[in-house]
Amino acid sequence: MSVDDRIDKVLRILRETIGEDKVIDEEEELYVYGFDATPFYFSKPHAVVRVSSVDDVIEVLKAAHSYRVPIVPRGHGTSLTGAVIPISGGIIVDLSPMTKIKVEPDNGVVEAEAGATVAEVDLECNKYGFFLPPDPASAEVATIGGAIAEDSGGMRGARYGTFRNWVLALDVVIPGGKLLKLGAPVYKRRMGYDLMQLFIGSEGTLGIIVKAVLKIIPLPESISRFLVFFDNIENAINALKEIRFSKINPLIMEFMDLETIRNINEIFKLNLPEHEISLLIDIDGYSSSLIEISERVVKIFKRHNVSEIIQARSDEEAKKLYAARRAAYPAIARRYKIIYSEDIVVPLSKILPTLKEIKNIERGYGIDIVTFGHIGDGNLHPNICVKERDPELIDRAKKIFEEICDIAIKYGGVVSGEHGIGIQKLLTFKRMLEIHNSLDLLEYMRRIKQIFDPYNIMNPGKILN
Amino acid sequence: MINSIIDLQKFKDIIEYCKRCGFCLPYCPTYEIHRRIETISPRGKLLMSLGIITGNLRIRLRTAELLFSCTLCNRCSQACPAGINISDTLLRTRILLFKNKLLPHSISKIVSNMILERNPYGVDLNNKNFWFDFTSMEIENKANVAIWMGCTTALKRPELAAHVYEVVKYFEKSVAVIDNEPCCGIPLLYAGDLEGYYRSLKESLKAISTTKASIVITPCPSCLRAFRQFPQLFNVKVPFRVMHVIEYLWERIAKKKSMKLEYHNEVSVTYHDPCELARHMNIYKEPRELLKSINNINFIEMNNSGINSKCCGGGGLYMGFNFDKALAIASLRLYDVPKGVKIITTACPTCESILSVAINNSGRPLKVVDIVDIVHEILFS
Repeated sequence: MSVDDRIDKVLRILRETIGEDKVIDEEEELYVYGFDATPFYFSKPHAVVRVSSVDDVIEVLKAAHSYRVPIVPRGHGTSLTGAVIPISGGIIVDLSPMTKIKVEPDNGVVEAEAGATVAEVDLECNKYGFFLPPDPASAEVATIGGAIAEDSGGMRGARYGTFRNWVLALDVVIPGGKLLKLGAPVYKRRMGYDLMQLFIGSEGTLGIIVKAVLKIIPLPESISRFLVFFDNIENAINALKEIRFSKINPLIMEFMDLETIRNINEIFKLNLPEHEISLLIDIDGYSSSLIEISERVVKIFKRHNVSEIIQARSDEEAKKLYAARRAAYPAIARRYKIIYSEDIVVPLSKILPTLKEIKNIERGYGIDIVTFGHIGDGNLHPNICVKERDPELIDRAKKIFEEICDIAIKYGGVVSGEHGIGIQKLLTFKRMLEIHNSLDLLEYMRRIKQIFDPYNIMNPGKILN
Repeated sequence: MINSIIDLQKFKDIIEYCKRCGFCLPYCPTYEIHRRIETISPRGKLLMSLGIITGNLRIRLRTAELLFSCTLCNRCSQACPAGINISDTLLRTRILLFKNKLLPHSISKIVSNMILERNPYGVDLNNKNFWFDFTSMEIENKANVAIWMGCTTALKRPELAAHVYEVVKYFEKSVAVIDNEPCCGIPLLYAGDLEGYYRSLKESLKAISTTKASIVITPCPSCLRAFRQFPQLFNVKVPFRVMHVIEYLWERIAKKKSMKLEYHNEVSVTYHDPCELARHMNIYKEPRELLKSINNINFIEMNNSGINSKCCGGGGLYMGFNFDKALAIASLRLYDVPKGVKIITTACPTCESILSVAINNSGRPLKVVDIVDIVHEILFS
């Protein structure tokens, strides 16, 4: 049977089992579901199936497994690495109609279906005085299923890490239509090999996450927020080091380089001070103790020759400082048509040389690199910015992209902290393993994939080539 | 100006700034009501527009139906990191669809109504004067101040039309109206018929000129845009000052605190921002200050208000295109009414009309009124 015949057969089965209206193979859907949030990748699926229940997903994976039809699970298509591009065609399984959320404050957990957005889940938790710690920049639109499959992080990553640290249990459907109930909705669990962790960050290559139980924690009573500016990056990094060594564990430690601030000022007229580097720091705790801790933090900044300190004195001011950091991406999105968003992670001690080397690359190629990110966990987002869709400029940008990844690899870091491998970093990922003398890990990964997905129907061409 | 609207290269240039990040998705009422299908999202519609321009997606009736699944509320643009004015961009797409003679049936019907009867509802234009029966005041045709009632107010809410006339007349010696007022042309523009809008605009300006008015007041945000914003597309200079009736009342009552109104009993009210008045015309302050200036009115902001206000579902011809879905959007909007509020005020006959149906269906003890109705009640009770 040809690929088209097999797909037709699967679609006929699905129209009967889950319903005509959920199976779409119209030109318009095939076109728009061929994109994600990456600037270049595009590939049409053969069909889009909009599932609204676990049973629907089971039926899809039963049929697709029988007829060996590629499956690409998709939430809201916010991947920055091409993870939901159907490069082999097949069926996109759109989980966005699955949006149920149930908070259990007594148990300190929230249960969410894959299609609920991270922000929707967090907002529900907030109603009970809790919050979901991982906070990807795309939280308002990124789905829980996608965020877990990509192991997303966010600004609070330095304190709370990525989704991996907060998932307690997962319901996953694997090819053949078997529903696996992984983990348990409790804070500690020994259950043999932790198969649940395999699915976190697996980018839809092993099965489809349909539901998750996540640990939630109480909202901080109070937050003290600073936006501080240094003329010397080394001083800024040393200040952060001293904060840590002073037994202070900030909730957020973000940074923006001078180019970022200049772009924000130019586009949004925020009139922020323009210095070599700026840090957004959140210290949380009880208001009674925060005054004293904040004073200690200010003293540390001063010891390291801070140029300017803006400390929020009200909720309104705190919102403004946060908005300044959130303006970093929009500021470049308005100036440049194409943005390659890097996602490297380096050891904290290598942040300084990494930033210096990125500057050197920028000078060498004559293409703007605007860098901001999560300085508290070494996860940097150098953004390679191209004004026009000019093939020569794009080619240069791609070279820069690889060189920046090489810096991370050289310093013992990784090429992705929270965006994933997808298609974009397939070769870079392989190169990283090779340089780290770990290429054989790919073989173990292939064998694991084969256990769950013997016919390689799950998101083929991602992570493993 | 007009050339830049239909210049495909410039059109493509705008869409190419879209980063496909999807930040617009949670802000789209039609996307939400269609259970979050990508083809109805702002991002999906921009991508389809790009596909059409580049020839990668052929245009057919279904494409047009998806592209018209939009209220043009422009809430999505507030979330767009690239700063794209998405509703303006999708309006360009509608122009492209019209040029290709591919309109959904219900939109074609609106266009033909406009051609045959010079109003989007297809009723005899003589009915535009029907609201005259709702006022005992003398109707005049020449004055320094004129009222442009608009099709929806005149044909669907004749009592409101009478209230607008009487309230303005309370402040003015003489107020003119236009016999068998034609349509401002906005329905044609929203259907993508740019030239049709231009013809209607010229006809409307000619009709207004017969009143000799230097100030024209309208209760309809769409008509306001038709005279204040869109003439710029054709470099047409409108030879009078056009005001929304809320701007007018704010100037007369609240701006200089020159007049103190008092509602007959204490009541908590909220305000629904019409998208065209708020996000499109930047009129936020006037309705709020006007309501707050009235004694006995306890003004409470609606959830999702101001620049982030949610759409009622009625705009951009969406109510005519898919009434059931538009009504579902209006029903969702009712969830934003704060506790204790019994009256939703607004300043748009379309918003009022669809919210009123949603309230009736919900069985909730709420009512929706135009701010003019409240002012009228105070001045004439």
